[in-house]
Amino acid sequence: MVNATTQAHVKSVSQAQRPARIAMHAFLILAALIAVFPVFIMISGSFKPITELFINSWGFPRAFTLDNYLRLLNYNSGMIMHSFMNSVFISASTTVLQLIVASMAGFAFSKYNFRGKNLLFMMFMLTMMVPGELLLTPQFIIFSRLGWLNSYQVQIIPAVANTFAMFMCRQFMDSIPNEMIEAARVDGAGHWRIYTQMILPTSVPTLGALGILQFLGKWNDYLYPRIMITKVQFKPIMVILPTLTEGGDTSGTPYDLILAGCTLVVIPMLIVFFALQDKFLKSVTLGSVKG
Amino acid sequence: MAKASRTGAVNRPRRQIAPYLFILPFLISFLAFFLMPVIYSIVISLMKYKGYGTMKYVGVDNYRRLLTYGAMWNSLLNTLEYFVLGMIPVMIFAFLLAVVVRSNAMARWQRVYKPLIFLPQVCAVVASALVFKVIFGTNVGAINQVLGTSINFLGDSKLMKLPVICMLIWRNTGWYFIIFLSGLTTISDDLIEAAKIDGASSAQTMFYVTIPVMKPIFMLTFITYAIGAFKLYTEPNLILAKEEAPLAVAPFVNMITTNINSGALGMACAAGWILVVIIMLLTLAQMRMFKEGQ
Repeated sequence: MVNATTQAHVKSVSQAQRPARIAMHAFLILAALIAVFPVFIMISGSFKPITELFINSWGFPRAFTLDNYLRLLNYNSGMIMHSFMNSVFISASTTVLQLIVASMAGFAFSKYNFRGKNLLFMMFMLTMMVPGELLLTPQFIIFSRLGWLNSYQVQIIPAVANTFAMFMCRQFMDSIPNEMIEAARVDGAGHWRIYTQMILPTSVPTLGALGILQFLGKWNDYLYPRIMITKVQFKPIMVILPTLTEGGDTSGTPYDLILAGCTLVVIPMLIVFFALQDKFLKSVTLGSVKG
Repeated sequence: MAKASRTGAVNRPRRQIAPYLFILPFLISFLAFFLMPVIYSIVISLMKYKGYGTMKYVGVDNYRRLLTYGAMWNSLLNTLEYFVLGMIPVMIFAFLLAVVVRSNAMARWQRVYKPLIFLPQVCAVVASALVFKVIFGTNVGAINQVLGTSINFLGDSKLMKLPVICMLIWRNTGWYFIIFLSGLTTISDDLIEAAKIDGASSAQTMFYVTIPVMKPIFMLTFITYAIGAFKLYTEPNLILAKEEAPLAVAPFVNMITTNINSGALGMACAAGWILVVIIMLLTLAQMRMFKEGQ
């Protein structure tokens, strides 16, 4: 069905002169090219030998090679793959724990009334204003006393209470009708059963979008692990990539190797992005309150 | 069932422990890893402490030293420069792109352009910074190769900020584009149509209808951009160095990291609190600015 307004629009579209439409496409194509260009340089560069990068770093590879990836796999006896798996493990476990803890707290804030509720919630929300950079130094001191520096737990546990995730869970759960919960309660379901068998399954789409956002944030994290981790064994790949060297410091930066490494960390995200585009883009507007 | 709100809380306040138990994991983690460090950092910021040995109370000395320290002001100015020079183009491009993509002539093409313009956001910051290092490299750089020059973008103190700002624009535009786009979608077609019927040109519609309606979204994005901008760390440090960028181009967060690295932990905490104050002032200033503008 085409209603009056859209008809008016269709008319105004056909009236819009062709040059205007061409100009619009030109503008958007230019923007898209600029957006994609660095990604193209990265991927095509990862298939070029270093000698080609010095003469042709912006075109398609002329001397296509997989050598960069082979060297990357063998770099420092498999250090890259190890740190890649570190990143996967750290990001995945942080995200899962964040979602569990946030959905539980969000459920309590959304579906219960209790003493101190608003005060607690306000206190949590205020923390979104505080930059994580402030926490860096005291956490560094505390974790060094606890002997947590250079470990996996230091990269997972402290990030578990995520206020943003909790807030989003509460927002979503506010839209779950109470009748559902009341009915379950009449049927004799306990608090925990209502949470696991009713609230969680209903929240899957929201938790999914939230999970993508949180995973991506942790995957991309650089500053925090750079301060907390000095042992190679525990480093995520993002901390390793910038420090790649070959044949000592004198031989210059191995750009070919670095571009292959960058491609390695970006490609999985691109695949997820194009597979789950809508969810991804929705998570942005969902996250527009995020600092 | 007679209930005031269909989706609000189910229970009246009464003594029950279930909600507290559900909040407990969050609360414990919050207290241990957020509140305690925050309070501890106030204490440390008043101490001279190397991370081992004894702490010595020095009062506000750390703050005074930072505020009279040229490098701190320098890093603050650098951050301000990255912030302003990045934000203006980001906001302009993001808004223009959103308006064009939203226009009816482009409706069919939205699905093609939207993900492409958003693409930079999906690329890891570290990887993007390293790629920009390659793009702006003197010999290895695409820009120099295309221009046939050998400009030292990454080493010349007058040019060094350019690659960083370019990356900030490249990376952030997609994010704000999506936010503006979702804001524009909330403006009903009827409103625009009514303006047209009243004889408004597209420019007039833009300035008298679209932009005023978008004002709250602009305000929110300015604040989130400003907060993000002052937390800038990865981009300048990885484009212009392997770990820490030289002082002349270092962002403010480097005041925290270099002090941690050199074992001046009191100074690092004080720098952290200065960052908090800056962010709060900025937020307040922008809120006031927008209130007056309305």
